[in-house]
Amino acid sequence: MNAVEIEGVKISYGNLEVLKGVDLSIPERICFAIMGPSGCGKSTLLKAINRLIELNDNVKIRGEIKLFGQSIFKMDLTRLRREVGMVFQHPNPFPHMSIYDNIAFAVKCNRIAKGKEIDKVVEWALKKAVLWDEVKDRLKNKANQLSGGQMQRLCIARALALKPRVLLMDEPTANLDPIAASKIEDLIQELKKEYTIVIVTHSPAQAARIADQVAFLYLGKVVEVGDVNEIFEKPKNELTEKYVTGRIG
Amino acid sequence: MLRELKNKVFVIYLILSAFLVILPLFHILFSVFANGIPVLLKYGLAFLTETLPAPNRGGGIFPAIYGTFMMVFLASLMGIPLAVLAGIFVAEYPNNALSRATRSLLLIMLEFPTILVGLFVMAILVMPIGSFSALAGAFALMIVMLPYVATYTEQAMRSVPAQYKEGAYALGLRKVRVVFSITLKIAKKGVITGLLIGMAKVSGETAPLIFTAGNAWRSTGGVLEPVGAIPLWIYYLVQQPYTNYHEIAWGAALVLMLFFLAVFLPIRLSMVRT
Repeated sequence: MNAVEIEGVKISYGNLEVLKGVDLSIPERICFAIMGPSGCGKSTLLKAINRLIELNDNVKIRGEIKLFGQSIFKMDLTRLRREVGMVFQHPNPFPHMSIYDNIAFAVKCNRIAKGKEIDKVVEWALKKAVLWDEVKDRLKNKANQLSGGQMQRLCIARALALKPRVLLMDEPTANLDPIAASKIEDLIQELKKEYTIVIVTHSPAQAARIADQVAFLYLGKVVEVGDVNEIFEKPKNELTEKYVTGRIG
Repeated sequence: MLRELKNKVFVIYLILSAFLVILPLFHILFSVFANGIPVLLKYGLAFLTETLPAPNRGGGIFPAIYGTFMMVFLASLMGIPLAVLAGIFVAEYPNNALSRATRSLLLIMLEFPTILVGLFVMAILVMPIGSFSALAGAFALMIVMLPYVATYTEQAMRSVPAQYKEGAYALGLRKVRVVFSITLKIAKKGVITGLLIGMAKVSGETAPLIFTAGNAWRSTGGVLEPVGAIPLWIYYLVQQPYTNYHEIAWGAALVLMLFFLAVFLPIRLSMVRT
């Protein structure tokens, strides 16, 4: 069964149609990259999967999105967002909370664990995000004292702590230095063994490095989708070829 | 040449205007300190602990300090929860018709003549109870305080970057949780600034108290009895024909100013730091 099934999704803000009918099938336990130039609707598409897009006013969504065969529009919102974690473009750990609380807070709110178990979940999540060794001695410090790359890994840990099955990543390395970015990319390689990762990127090079399957989105439509080798070595569409060779975007 | 000269004249004009605008502030600060400090030295600590003396004797302004503290405390107790919630509502539901109306009305309330607030409270509280009271005074101060606290809360809530709210929603949190555990906590500093500015503002108000608190020179009564207040005392004392009352008024003015500065200076300094 596919992890995420997107069927004829059209999304508009007011009169502006951003997605003009998107169909995608995202298999389980791979890294699926959605690439395309700025403004092509890739973040909108990603935020539709956990229904975060609905926080915007006057947004209209048509079509169907299924998570492991079940319509997300019929699921309980809290459950959907627990199963579909998200990491953002700007590392956004809660600045008023400690490193520990950043993870423990959502764990408590979602009743994932209680009492002593919370400590275990926090440790597990931080280890999973390869941050544990760097922060284990200062869990009570404020999260905003971390570096950008550490903050982003904390956000990944925070998402993993809720035991999701799908992880959405919206240009997670766009605001990081190359070393921090490569750590995140390594982490993605590791995580895709257990989770389905849907990553949005405007960099074809990044998509080529980390993705198993790639969709090229242009002006609100999927131009081409396929295995990473196909897309980069023998693209069927002229637009895709221009994009991956850096002539558009 | 002429253009340079014009430019210089204009710059001098600007500097002069800025200086003239802040001149009154320095004059007030200077005259209050110059006239108030000798009074405090002359009356000693008793100035803060004793009641109003007979003409031409020593004494103090304790009933005024007592009344001001009590009324500001009561006004905060009644007003702050209300105002913070109103501010949150306006910030979180910006497109709701009621919220838009509330925001405009809060701005009007900020500028509303406070003497009318006093008259309103006199009509709804003082007349039915049959007496001036600390409660009525506090109620009037609360009305003056509400728009400050609500507006500051709203601004602080709005200034929290959307990415934190999105992050919280993405973790499956409900709106109430996001608002109270994330946004409000991140906005805490701005909200507290609003509370302090609201409290400092009303501690110096005279007009809303004239028809509500009544006044008390020697008693320090309960919630339902008339009480004094520092600005109220200044207002009445300078109208008396006795030198020592004028002195006490200057001393009271200094005490009020020190309260005010004690609240404002830390706020300003902490704003500079961020």
